[in-house]
Amino acid sequence: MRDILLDIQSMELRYGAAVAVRDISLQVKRGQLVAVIGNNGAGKSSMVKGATGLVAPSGGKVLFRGADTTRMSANAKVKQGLVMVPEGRLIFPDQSVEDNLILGAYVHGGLRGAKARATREKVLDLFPRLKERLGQQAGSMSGGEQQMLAIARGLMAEPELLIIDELSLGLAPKIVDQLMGVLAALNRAGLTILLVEQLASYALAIADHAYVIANGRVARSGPSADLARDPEVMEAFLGRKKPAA
Amino acid sequence: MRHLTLLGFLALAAILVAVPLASSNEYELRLFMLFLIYGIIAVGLNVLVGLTGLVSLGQAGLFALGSYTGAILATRAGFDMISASLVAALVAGLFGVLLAYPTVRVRGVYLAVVTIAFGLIVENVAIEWQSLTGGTTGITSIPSPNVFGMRLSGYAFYCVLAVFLFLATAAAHNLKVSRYGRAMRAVSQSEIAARALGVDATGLRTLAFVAAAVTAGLAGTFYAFLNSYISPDIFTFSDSVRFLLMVILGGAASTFGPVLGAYILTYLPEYLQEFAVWQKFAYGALLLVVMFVMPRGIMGSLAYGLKRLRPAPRAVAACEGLPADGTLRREAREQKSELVARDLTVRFGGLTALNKASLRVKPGEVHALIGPNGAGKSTFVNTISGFYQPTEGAFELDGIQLAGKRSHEIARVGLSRTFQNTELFSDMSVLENVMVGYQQRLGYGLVSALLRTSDMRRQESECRRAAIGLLTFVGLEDYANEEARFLPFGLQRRLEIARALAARPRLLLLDEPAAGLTTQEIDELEVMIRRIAALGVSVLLIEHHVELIMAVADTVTVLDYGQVIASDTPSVVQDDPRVIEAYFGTSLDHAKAEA
Amino acid sequence: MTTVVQYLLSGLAIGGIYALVALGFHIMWSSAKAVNFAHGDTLMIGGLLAVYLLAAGLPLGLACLVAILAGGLFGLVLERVAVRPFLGQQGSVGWMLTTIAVGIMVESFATIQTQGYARPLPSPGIASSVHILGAGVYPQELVIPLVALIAMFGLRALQRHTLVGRAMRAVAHNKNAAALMGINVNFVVAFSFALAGLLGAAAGVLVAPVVQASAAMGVLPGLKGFAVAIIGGITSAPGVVITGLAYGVMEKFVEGYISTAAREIIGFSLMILTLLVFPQGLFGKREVMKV
Repeated sequence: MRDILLDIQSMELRYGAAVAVRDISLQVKRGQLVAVIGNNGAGKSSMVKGATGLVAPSGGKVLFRGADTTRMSANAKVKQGLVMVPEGRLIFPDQSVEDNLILGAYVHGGLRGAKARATREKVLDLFPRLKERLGQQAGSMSGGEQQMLAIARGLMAEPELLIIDELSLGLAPKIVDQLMGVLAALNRAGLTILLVEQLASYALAIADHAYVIANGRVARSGPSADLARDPEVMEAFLGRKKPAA
Repeated sequence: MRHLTLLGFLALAAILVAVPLASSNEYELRLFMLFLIYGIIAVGLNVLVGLTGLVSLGQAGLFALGSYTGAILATRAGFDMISASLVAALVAGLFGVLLAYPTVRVRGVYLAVVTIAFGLIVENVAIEWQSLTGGTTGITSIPSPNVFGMRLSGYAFYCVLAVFLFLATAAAHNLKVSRYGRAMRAVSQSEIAARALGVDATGLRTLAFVAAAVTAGLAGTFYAFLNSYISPDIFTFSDSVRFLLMVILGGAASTFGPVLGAYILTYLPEYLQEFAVWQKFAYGALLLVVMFVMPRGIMGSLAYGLKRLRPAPRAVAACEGLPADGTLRREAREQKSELVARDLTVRFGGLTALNKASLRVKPGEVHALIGPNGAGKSTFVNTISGFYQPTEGAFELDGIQLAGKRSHEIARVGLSRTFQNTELFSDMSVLENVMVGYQQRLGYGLVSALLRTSDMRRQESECRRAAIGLLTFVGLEDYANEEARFLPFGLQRRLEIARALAARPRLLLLDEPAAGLTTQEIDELEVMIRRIAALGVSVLLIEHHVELIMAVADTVTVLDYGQVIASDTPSVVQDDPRVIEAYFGTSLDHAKAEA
Repeated sequence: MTTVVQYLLSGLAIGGIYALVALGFHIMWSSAKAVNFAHGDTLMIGGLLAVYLLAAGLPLGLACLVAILAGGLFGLVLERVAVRPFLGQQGSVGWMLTTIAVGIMVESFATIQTQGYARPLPSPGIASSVHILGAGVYPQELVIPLVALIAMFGLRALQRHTLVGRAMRAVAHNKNAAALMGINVNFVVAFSFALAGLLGAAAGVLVAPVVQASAAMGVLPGLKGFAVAIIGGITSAPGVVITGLAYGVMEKFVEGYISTAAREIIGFSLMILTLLVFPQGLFGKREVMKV
């Protein structure tokens, strides 16, 4: 029985009077790649903001590595190993690629230690495009390169669990494909990943397990292969039934 | 509340009549007259700070302008007090217009700093322009107050001041309950929503500055006559802080708050006579205490407490309202409205958010605009409603060109919208929110508002009844008097729709109206959209909820990466492979192969 | 010619003070999008406290150091008590009014303590004057603009090479992004306000020997420092420092050829004009408003 890294229990999250997350429970076990899919406004990103501490949940619990982290601040969670690559990437545009990576390693004191420098080497090997552009201002890079930087920056924090929120936003399908491949490779090498994604098929293609969110609740969950074949899932997205294969 | 206000005015009148009879000496009366002068300033400043939400720390500068103008006219040109004060009010008013101009560019802190700088500039001009102002010595031997050549006795002067304060308070109150006051409060609470309802924010802010300036100008001249002597050190930054404190302590936006605040701060130095050195400290401490403990001020806190103890009825009788279809229905001979967007392109720096997007909302139809996150839907909506300017392309409503127009102009042509993140006027009641929507259709002018003419009252009554009718239409009549921010979320959404409808739009733009709603609420929304369309209003709907779109939309347009990739009936769009790819990622077969 | 050099040199001196004050505003605004409107009073705290500590028997260097640290503490406390509670509300001026209130209280308290008199702060920098091109200045006055430039470069070095400086830049750009890096945003904001307070008190200690320490010594420099920050562009550290120095020189020339009152009129009118034409300042970045 693999241990459960992230355990969200009946989370409720409000923005003022608006209920963004009504009741979501999900688990991520060590070594898994879990996908969270669903329409816009369904509550996926809000759930993740609640899990990482950017917004305080109004109900329910968030357990990370067995400890109750529901009220923990975002920066404290990073120290615990819960790292997020946020929606919109949020890289620091006025700083160079190198500077962004150093900030990614902030919780480990920047690039001072040998371990941090070794991590940097591994990360740059994974994204050769970034290696070529270390001194470039992050804001002048293309969307795909910025997303690579955001993921690289997240990896610099040496996460136990890496959450990726809306990777595909504004990116061409080819790049999304490429980045999904990178994520799959990272997972095979042992990194636990929670992938929140709008483009369901990409996410389902690389995930072990998936949750479908609708109206602030979990509508379906199960092994991603099952969900990918499921006509009801298709209907949830486009209101149509999948033609009989 | 209305009875309380009337009582308040009666009490004020009674006090104003009683004081001169009860005061034992000249000094006491003069102190009270000083309070009257400060009261006039505070009442005007309240329109700016309390109603319109603009913090001004330069009121002493306007006060100085009025004072010097009046004093110079009296000593050099022999003007009598009334004519001097009117010219002073005019001069100050002009500077008020000037001060309003920066609000086009800056708000909040930066505006406050502009007002501080203004105050300092005036103070230093008074010191520098010695030939006109007497420099640091100031202007002495200002004649005793006179009207048309007749010298006024102490009591007569008192009467003039008392009448002016009473009238100023009444005028400010009438302004507050008129469409101007409502619009000012709306602009202060959500400028975006106000603009989208056709409210000219800049015009209102100018009006607010002029109100504050004119009252300060009048008061300045009266002060010069009361004191017989003015100099630059009477009009410092500390005085500006003191005037602001009068408004905040008394209760910003309340009718009698500024009068109360002026009273307290006029008499406070008297009580602190022995501790004169601690006066300034006391002002600072008082401001701090008010900010932390009583941000609503004294009158505001009292009103709040009263509401909690004896809450007014929340609901409103539906029969009071005008039926919504009367309010909304287009004239039989008027066509239903058509919106056409041609090759709309919007670029932000290097990013092309919309790329030659073309769309047509046919007359009277419900048109849905969908697309993945980041596809450009918000950009489209904000451009159509005038919040962004298109880089290229054009769009028109019933042939009227809209590209290049600003949001409040577009709203006045007949396009109303709701917002993805609800932009309610949170501190106003549900009913008042809808009444702001009706704003464009009220025709009475400023003078009618200040005098509360019968025409104004008739139009206000009609506005109120139309608003009630619209609340009934969306099912919110039971919450009419509730403060908007206390509404449950689903109902807040409905309020936004009612408010947008109050403008009698040709086209209603709904920005993700279903976001955050429960399944039941979405069903109710579906019914409401159909009813709106049935009344002849064209609807453009930005949405993600597939079932809702399939149920109500006549046409669906799909955006992806800023471009239109499909536009047809819902069932056709559903099966379009490009649409599936945009939403789902790749074709289903591909996904299946990878699994 | 001598007059011109005189105005230039003493202008740079007072300009250095404005630059230091404006640099403090830049640091505070970058991290919190809010400032301490009692920031000018940190000058007074630095100057007066140094005078009192010296009178109490401390050596000059130690007295100045403690006074500067006190300024930092003032900034720290004020942020926690008067600014942070009012930060959430969008577009609010609550923190402006509370910090103005504290400023008024601190000034009046100091006025009561000093009874309105100015106190001298002896310093080796004013022991004798030097002559440059015929103009007489105190070495102390020449040091001030140098300190301002050192502070500017020091801040840049801090932000480029230390972890806390990098954290400051991250928080300045986006608080959420910074938090996701593991940065404690509240700590960084508090640090920024403390740093600004240190700079303000240092300016007070530097200028007190020249103009004497008094309760009101910080009021106008505080306001002008903010004006300088607006003109130069509050988002740019070199921008505000250069503008501060230039503003000081402008002031001396106007004061010399016209009058003191004219100097205030021209200076503040310049600020208003800049706000209307370049809302982001001469060297600042445009902030895009999202609907």
